Amino acid sequence: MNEKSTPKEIARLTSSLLDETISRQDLVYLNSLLLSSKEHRKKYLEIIQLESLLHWEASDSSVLEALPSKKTETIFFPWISSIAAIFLAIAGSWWSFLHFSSEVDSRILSSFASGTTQDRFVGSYNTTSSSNPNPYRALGNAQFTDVNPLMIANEFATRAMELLSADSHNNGSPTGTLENYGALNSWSRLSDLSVAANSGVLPSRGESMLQFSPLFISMDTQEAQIVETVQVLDVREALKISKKTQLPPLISASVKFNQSHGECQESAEYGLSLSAYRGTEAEEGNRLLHVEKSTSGDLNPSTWHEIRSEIEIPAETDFVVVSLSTRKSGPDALLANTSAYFSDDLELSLSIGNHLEVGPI
Amino acid sequence: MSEKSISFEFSQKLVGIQRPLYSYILSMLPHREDAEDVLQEVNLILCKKTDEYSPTGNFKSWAYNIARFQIMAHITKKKRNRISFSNELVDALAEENTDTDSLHLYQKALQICYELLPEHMREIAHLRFKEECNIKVISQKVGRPLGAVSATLFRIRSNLMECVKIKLSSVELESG
Repeated sequence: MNEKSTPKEIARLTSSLLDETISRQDLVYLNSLLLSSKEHRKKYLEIIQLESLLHWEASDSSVLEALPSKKTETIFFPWISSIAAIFLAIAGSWWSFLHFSSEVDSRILSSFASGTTQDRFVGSYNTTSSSNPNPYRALGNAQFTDVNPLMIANEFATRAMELLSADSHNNGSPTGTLENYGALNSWSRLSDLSVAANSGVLPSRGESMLQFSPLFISMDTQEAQIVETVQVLDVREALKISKKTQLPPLISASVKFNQSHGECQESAEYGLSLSAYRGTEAEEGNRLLHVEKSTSGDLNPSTWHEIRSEIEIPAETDFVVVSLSTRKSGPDALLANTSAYFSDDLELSLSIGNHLEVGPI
Repeated sequence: MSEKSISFEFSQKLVGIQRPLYSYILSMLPHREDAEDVLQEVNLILCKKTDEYSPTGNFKSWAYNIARFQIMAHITKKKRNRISFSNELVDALAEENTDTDSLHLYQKALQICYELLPEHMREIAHLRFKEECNIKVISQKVGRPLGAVSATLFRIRSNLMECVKIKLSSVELESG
C-alpha cells in the first residue's frame, strides 16, 4: 500500500471496526497501522471524534434536530435542586434508556406463562443462555403482563430442590451453582445475576452486585414486582445434627438493595424472604414457614438499604429458599422498568448452638 | 454509605468533560455499549472521589487517568468476548492529545454537514446513529445487502469528515 492510500485504508478499517464488521485479520492490520505512525493515530482519532459526537448527539437529541424521527427524551428531575444531582439524573436516565430497550421475547414469556414442566423450564433457559443467562432479562422492559412473578421464582426453587435432592453436584448446572458446605448443600443463582457497576450504581462492596430482572407490570392493579429466587439450601443433614443435639437450627440473612435513576418519583419496596419447605416442590402446601422482611428504598443510587432476618428452621424442613423482591405500586409502577434494581452483600449463615456454624454461605 | 456533596464547580467540569471523555474512551474501546458502560463507571468514580479533587489541579488529566484505568479493566474483563486492540496500541492512543477546546465548533459544523447528506445516506445514518441499529437490521430495513450498507456508512463518515473540515472555518468566523 502506498502512503497516499493509507489514510483511506485507515478510514475504511475504522468504519468497519465501529460497525462491528471488521475481521480479526483486518483488526490486526489496523492495529499495526496505528502503531506504526502518529499520523495514522491522528486520522483514527479524528474518525472516532466524529463517531462519538454522532453517538452522543443522537442519544442526547439536542443537536441533530434535523433528524426526521422522534427524539429521545432527556429526563429532568425538578425535585433535585443541585446541578450535580441533575447531572447524575441526566446521566443515569440517559444510560437507563440506552440499556433497557431490548425486545420482548414472547416465546419465553409464553413458555413461563403456560406451564411449569422441567423440560420447558430448562429449554427456556437454554434459549437465552448463550448471550444472557437470565431468562427474565430476555423479556426486556415491556413486561406488561399478568404473569405472576412468584410462579417463576417458585419454578427456580423447585428446580433447585430437585437438583439438590438428586445429589447431582454438577457445578455446570444451567440453572445455578451447586456448592457444598459440609453439612449443608447450597444452590445459588448469584453468579448468574451478577453484574459490575451498572446504570449509575456501584456495588456496595467489591466489584459486582446482583441485578434484578425487569419487573412484571400489571396494568390492572398498577403493581410492578419481581421475585428472584437466589439461593436454596439443603438443610437435611444439618437438621439431623439439630435433632441429635436438641438445639434449634437458625438461619441468619442480611442483604442490601439499591436502584438506579429512572422516571419514577417514588422509591421501590424491597423484600428478603426465607421460606422452609418439606419435599421438593416449592408449593404453598409444602411450605412450613415463610418470613418476609421488607424496607423502602430511596431514589439516590449511592445509598444502599439493608434488611436483616433470622428464622428457626422447622423440624421437618428439607430445603430453605432465599428470595429477594422488588415492588412498586400506584401509577409509578407503570414506569418501574425505567430504573434498574440491585442487591448486594447477601450474607447467609446457619448455626446450631456451638455444634455447627456454617457461613457465610 | 454516606452521601457526598458535589460542588457547583466540580459538576460544571464534570458536565463539560462528558463529550471529550466519551470520545477518549471510544478511541480505545471502539464499541458503543462498552464505551457507554465505562463512561458511566468513570462518572460515578469521579463523583465518589470528589474529596480528592483539587480546584487548582488538572481535572481533565485526572478524569482521563481514571478512565484509562477503567478501560484497561474493561478490556481485560471482556477480552474473551470481544476483539480488541493490543495493550501497546491502547497505551499509545491514551497518550495522544486531541483538541477538545474547539469541540463545540466541530459539533456545529457537524450539524450543518449532517443536514447536507443525501436522503439515502441520511436514512442509513439515522438508523445507525439514532436508532442504534446494527448493520444486519439496517440491511433488512432498507432492503440492501450488508456490504452495501457498510460501504454507505463508510462514505457517510468520509463525507462528514470532509465536510466538517470545510465548514469549520466558517463556523469559527461566525462564532467570532
